[in-house]
Amino acid sequence: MPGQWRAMYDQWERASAPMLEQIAGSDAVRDVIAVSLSVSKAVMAETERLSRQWLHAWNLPAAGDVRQLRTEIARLSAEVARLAASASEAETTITRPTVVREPLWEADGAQERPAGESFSRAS
Amino acid sequence: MASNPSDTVADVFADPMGFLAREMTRGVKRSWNLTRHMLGIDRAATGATPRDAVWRSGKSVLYRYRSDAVTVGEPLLLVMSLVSRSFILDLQPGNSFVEHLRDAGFDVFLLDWGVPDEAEAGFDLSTYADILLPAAVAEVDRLGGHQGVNVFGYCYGGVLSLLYASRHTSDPINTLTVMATPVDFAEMPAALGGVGRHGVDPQHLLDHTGNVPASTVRAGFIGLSPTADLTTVVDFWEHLEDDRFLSNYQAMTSWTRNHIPFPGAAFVQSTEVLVDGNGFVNDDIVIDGRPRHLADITVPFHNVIAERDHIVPPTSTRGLGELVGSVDVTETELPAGHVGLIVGSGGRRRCMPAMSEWIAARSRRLDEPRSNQQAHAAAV
Repeated sequence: MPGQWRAMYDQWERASAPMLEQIAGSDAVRDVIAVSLSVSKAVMAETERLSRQWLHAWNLPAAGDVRQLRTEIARLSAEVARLAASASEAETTITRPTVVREPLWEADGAQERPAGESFSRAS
Repeated sequence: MASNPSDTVADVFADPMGFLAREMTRGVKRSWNLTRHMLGIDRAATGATPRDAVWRSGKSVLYRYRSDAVTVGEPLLLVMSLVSRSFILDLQPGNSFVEHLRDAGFDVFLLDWGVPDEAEAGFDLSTYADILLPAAVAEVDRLGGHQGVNVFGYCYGGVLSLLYASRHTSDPINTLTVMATPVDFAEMPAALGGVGRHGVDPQHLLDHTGNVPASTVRAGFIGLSPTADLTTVVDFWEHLEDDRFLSNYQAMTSWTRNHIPFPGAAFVQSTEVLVDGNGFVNDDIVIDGRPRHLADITVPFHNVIAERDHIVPPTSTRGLGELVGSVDVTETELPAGHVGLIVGSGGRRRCMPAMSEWIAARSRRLDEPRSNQQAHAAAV
């Protein structure tokens, strides 16, 4: 009758979830994943190598070539951004005015963390 | 299949015609909802709070949420995780953390990292914590009139915020809040922690783009709770006639089933520094040749922990307050899960106010509410 199928599912879920979670997080599953990933990576690399050879024989770029170019462009963009950030940082150090920020949170006037009361914990 | 749970056998026999009428009405409603769900008609709107893109760098975009009643002096910057979509922070009208913050008087910004591809495969932790995040903070500070910025990191966004704040100590950070942020990686669940020196080689998880594919990221989360997906489907079937449930279901599943790739270099570096080295706990983090110490963070600091978090368990984040160097430190444990902090009625009632009030108490209150549209126009 109404709702019974849901109660049955909940019962099954409560019984099986901990076991499935344990299996998913086990060393055995982790090892299987590690090996299968390693094998698939090797197969993929070999397949790519062969297809690249064939495409290069026809003077055509392979996906790997395009990827390499995109990665290189991204690396250069990141390098430019990094240099810009360094330049901006240097400029700020030279020109930044001294701003005295009033510590609103220190209502009790404490300037240092009180010994033995390192922080407040709320729940 | 299931009927109205309130109907008992006695009810059915007492009023068979009424039961039949109710069942027919319900059947029609369920059929219609199933049809519109399958065809994608009238799907729940996500990320609907009005906003403007105010800054970009590559795929990273800084959004500013429109408000006519900003009452807090320092703007608030939400820093998103690298592996999930940012609309979780603005899920649905009436069920949105962004909406709550905006209504609490904050000038809200969101830093969305975008969806990485080959171009971002080389982005390491330094790219995010030393280039993109500081640039975004500087932009928020500029648009906010150089009053300082309240930085708020969610999940892995919290990790990036910690790495950023521990090095850029002279940046205009007013407060730093991290929510559901992993710190002690030895305490992370086995299904997520199986990568590294004693497990899967992180390089093997990278696909042809050089990133960890979204499907692999999702598989890791499924491993944490293998029956969760099936339970979601069961919930869907049980409540199919409920329009409100369907709307929430569509919004949530569009988030939980729609992860984004983890940038390869950042993933490999995270594994080495944070997982294998447990860098935060051991105070042993060197990124881009520079050491980082959480003790160098001295701004007012709030660590928000979800009591029922199955992704970032409380044990993996509890005690972070003792590692930072701030005088004003608060660690709050809230009765919610990883997402429940910012979604749902419990989040709205208990969690969101606890977070926004902490920041507001450490920020300047404006004499008069102002619109951030005018401020935006003036700053631009």
